[in-house]
Amino acid sequence: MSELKKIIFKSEAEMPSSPVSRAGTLANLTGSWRYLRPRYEEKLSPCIAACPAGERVEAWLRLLEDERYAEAWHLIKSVNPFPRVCGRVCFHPCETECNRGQYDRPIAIHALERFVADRARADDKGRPPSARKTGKSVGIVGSGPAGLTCAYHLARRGHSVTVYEAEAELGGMLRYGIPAYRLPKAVLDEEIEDIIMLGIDVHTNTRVEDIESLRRRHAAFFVATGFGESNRLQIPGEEGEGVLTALEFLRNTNSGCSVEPMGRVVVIGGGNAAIDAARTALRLGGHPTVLYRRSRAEMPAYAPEVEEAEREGVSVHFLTQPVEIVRESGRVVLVECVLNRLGEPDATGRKQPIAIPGSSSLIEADTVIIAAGERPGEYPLQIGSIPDSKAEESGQSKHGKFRNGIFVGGDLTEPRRTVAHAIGSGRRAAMQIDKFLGGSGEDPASYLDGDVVRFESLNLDYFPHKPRVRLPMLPLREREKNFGEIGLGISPQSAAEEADRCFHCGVCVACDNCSVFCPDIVVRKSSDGTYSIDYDYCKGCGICVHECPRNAMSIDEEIRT
Amino acid sequence: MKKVIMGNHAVSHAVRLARTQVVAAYPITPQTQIVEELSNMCAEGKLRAKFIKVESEHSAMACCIGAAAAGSRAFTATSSQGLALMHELLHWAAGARLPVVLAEVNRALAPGWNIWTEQTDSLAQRDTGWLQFYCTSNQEILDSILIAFRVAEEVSLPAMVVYDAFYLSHTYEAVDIPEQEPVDAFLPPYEPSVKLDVDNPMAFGSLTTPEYYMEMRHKIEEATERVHEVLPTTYEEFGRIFGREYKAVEPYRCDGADLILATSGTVSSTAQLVIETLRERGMRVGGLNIRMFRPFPARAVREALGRCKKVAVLDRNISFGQGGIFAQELKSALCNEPHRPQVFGFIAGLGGRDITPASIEEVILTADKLDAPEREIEWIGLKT
Amino acid sequence: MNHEQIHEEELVCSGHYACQGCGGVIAMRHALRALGPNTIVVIPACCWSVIAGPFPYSALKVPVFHAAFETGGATASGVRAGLDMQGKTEVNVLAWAGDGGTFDIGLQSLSGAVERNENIIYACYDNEAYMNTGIQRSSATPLRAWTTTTPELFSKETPKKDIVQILVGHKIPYVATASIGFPDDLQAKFRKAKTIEGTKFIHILAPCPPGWKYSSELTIRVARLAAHCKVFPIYEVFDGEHYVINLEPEGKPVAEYLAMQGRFSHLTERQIQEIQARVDYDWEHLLHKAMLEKFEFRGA
Repeated sequence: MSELKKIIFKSEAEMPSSPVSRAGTLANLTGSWRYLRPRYEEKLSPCIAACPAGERVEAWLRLLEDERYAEAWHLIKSVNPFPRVCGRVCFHPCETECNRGQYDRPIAIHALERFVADRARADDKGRPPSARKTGKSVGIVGSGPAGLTCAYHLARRGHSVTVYEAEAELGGMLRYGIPAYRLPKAVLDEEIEDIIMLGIDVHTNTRVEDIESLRRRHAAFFVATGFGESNRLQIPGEEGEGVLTALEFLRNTNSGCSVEPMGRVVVIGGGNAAIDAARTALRLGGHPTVLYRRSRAEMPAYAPEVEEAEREGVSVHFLTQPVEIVRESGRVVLVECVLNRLGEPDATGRKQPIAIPGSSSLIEADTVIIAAGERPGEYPLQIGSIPDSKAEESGQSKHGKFRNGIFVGGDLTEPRRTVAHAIGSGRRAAMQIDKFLGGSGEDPASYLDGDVVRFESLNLDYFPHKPRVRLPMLPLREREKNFGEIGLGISPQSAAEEADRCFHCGVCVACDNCSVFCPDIVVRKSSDGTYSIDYDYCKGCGICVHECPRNAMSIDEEIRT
Repeated sequence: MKKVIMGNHAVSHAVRLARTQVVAAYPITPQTQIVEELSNMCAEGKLRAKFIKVESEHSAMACCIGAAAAGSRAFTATSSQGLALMHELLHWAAGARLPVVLAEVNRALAPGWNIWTEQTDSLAQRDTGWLQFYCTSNQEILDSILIAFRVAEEVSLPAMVVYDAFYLSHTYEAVDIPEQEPVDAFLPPYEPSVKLDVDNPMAFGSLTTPEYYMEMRHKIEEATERVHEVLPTTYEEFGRIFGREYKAVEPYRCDGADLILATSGTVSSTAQLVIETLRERGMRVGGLNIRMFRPFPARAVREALGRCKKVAVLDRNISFGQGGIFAQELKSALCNEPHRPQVFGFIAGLGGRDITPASIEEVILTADKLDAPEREIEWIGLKT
Repeated sequence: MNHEQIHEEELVCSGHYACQGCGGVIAMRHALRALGPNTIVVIPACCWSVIAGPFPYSALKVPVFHAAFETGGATASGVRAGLDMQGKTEVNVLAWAGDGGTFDIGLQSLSGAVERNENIIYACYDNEAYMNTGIQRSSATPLRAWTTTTPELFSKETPKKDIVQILVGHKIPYVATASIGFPDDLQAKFRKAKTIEGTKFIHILAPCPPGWKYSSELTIRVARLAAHCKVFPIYEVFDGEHYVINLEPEGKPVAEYLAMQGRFSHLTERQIQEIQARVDYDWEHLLHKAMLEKFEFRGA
């Protein structure tokens, strides 16, 4: 370009009569002044890093902001077949990690996920096209979120999938563990239907006793049978009528069995199952009391659910430990408890309850529900071993194969037993199985590597404080004695406004700050919305990097050879 | 059309006839009537110009510079303190090669306050790159303004037309005011080769490093020198159109003169009367009216003075420590001549004191009786 | 704002001679983007005399006239008159001066031009000292700031001159403050100025990394903080009477703004409190003036 050439007058005759300049300054390559070099470098949003299911949360929030609902839905569905479920029941670690939480309040990601998925399911029933059949068959044992997620991904990659489920219906814990007021059965049915429609073979009421007997049918197996057994308290009076586990109780309720009038219900435990059981009992006309042996701070149940339960009328007794279930003529009549105080933390970091001598008390009870945790059933033990830390250390991932093509996942392998973790586990297992069967095994959530953007690295000047969307809830009155969904959906306008609060940590959203504020006019934007820097002129002032609100740029020392 | 008008109004008429587009001026005695008349002309629609009533002479010149850079013909007028205040921008106009024309009424500088004639104000601007013309009559004032525009625009340098306070500025004389048509023929519209133009953007006056600054200065000098070629033909053309003859340097009865008295401005008219008288008495004396001061007409001066024995220079100005400025200029023009005359420098008429025929005669007789100057500076009419 | 549009309308050329992170260039970029190519710029002596580049180069894609230090208002008046006489009344004439050329040496010719209500836009990009000559105090230098002529032990004892009030006193049609930290507002003001007949004065805060002693990447942050700490309120005054405040400050403490800049590093706690008190007073004063009219915060 001639503009780039330096102008040198060799004689006076070539020069104008006065210092009149006609050329631009492009001949002055000010890039040589630079000792710091800015560059575009996207980083990982904490919501994405935190999502156990592997959702690219920030990206679908951006699509939602632009009201591109179908695209947002497809993006979620590329990793997670259960957005409607997750939008309702996931305890959303994404929101816990959301940087906006340190500014005002986190984005209501779960509500937006639910909004997108509900709306897209209503708008668009288009299925992603099935891949070419590979001719490989996979057997999946267990139809909880892990099993079905694995089935979903394998089917999308063209494998033939058969799901074996011991219960009468698919869904595992989603169906039998989670009460309908949190997850309406119709929603679950529809999402499962979407998965099955991919061409999955379903065998319900089929308990697989022996994997080896199915060897000839399938080239690989995924075992995700979950934690089907409940722990017991090991206290007197526990055996017999009137005492049941939370899982049994919830399963009965959720499978539509008629339940006797409840009366006074004592629920023992502090986990989510305890709260679900208590609130379910309440809806069945009972008067539930939850006994937890530590204080509220140590309670493993999701705090908002506990608060909601209390608002509905569940009473929670903390530092209260049952020592005996007292029966009269075989009928449960009382629970005898002692009060605890908290001692030193144990290995898990939780303060240990220590019984206070002489603090015994009695609580009247017609039914006792024990929610003291769950464990895997006998079944997986027959197929080898539950993968343990040794397996991981030996170089096999926790979804590694066992005994020639048998993969294990879900609650059996996840340290945290949540729906989202199960979904993530199912997806990763599917990728391993795909690879085992000769596929690429390419993970649709491969973006999970990268530096996570910390709150301190954001430039908050461009984010006005805005209130978080108010999440509508069913009024308390209307929750009585029915299982109507408590959480209500939000309007498209609320959804757009809420999505608009997203910082888009670490991601370039083409806000133009880098170019608008550049004193050297070196930031170029291409038609696809990406930027480049003209290093011939960039002086390396660093304004672009500093003014990037979301830390999608980095700056390094200039190294010249 | 002949009209009896004051010298200041002769300027106003010339500015009108030049179809000046922008006038920017600030009042100062004895110049003020120029711009008062121009205001009237603008108000009456006789002059289609934008008159910027600035808050200082400095801004007046800045306005003229801006207007000329934008491609319009620009004029201002001032005197004394006002010219001194403009000094910085006089350099600017010349360096930017803008043909602004300025009417400068010679007035002594304060303190003490003095509104009467003296040339030190204009001569102190001799190094600014401006052309300088000195006038001896109101007619010459009018004509010189037109000639100044023509020459200035031809060589792209600013020009000032200089004349004495009160002796010309406020004195009424019969002046032939030309019709518009011949003036238009003599002075075409101002069409600079470069100007501020959004269709052809350029930057004027960019930072100029030692790499090129000297050439820029050399070009100013070349343009200034070119006036020596341009001016005679311009005077000639002017004479053809308007019937009045001018020269950069005007000898008066110099044939066979042993002593020549060099003067400028209105003193030249008085000097001619004195020379006439002395010639009648048989003295071999002549006169030299120096009309153009910048560029200095050194060759014409040498031609006029080269053969005489003595030159007396009457300066109504002073460069302290070195004497009259015209005397210095003459000396430097003559110093390399093989048969150079003795140069006698006289200072007279500062701050508007009368330079009478008697004082001029004293000057001539003083130079006549000495073989060589006794002093560098001879003061005439000092109270002793 | 859309960047592709920016490049199309970019009238400042890369390769200019400004320091890293120069606020004065950002100001010029946005001013010219708003005014467009039908603009002639008059630049009296200031940093931009150098930034624009040496002969035969010019960093601006519009005509420029480099003028003497004190002549911004007058030279622009002359250019305006020269253009008008040629019928070019639609060309914008922009005088672009620093704080020295506006608050100090150029104040007279500015006042002259403004009083005549010349149809020009006069923009002062204010970096609060003589930066081009190496950081000497001007009358735009804030109270207690360090410069090379106001050393720490003898920092500036008088407050910054209120240039806006001086201009407002001339009762011209439009006076506004703007900041490079808020380019949309800045552009809106220049676009507005284009449509108003008479003199328009826009006072732009343009932070200077070497002169204010902060790291170059902070230029925009410093500019924004100045507004949010009420040190440099963003407002407009119409016809010398009607005040509109365009930005509601977040009301951060001045200490936050001062702490970012090395030129204030010598301040004692008490001095900071004095500055805060003055800022608060000035802000209240501005609010009162704004409330003489129907008070409102709204965009430019």
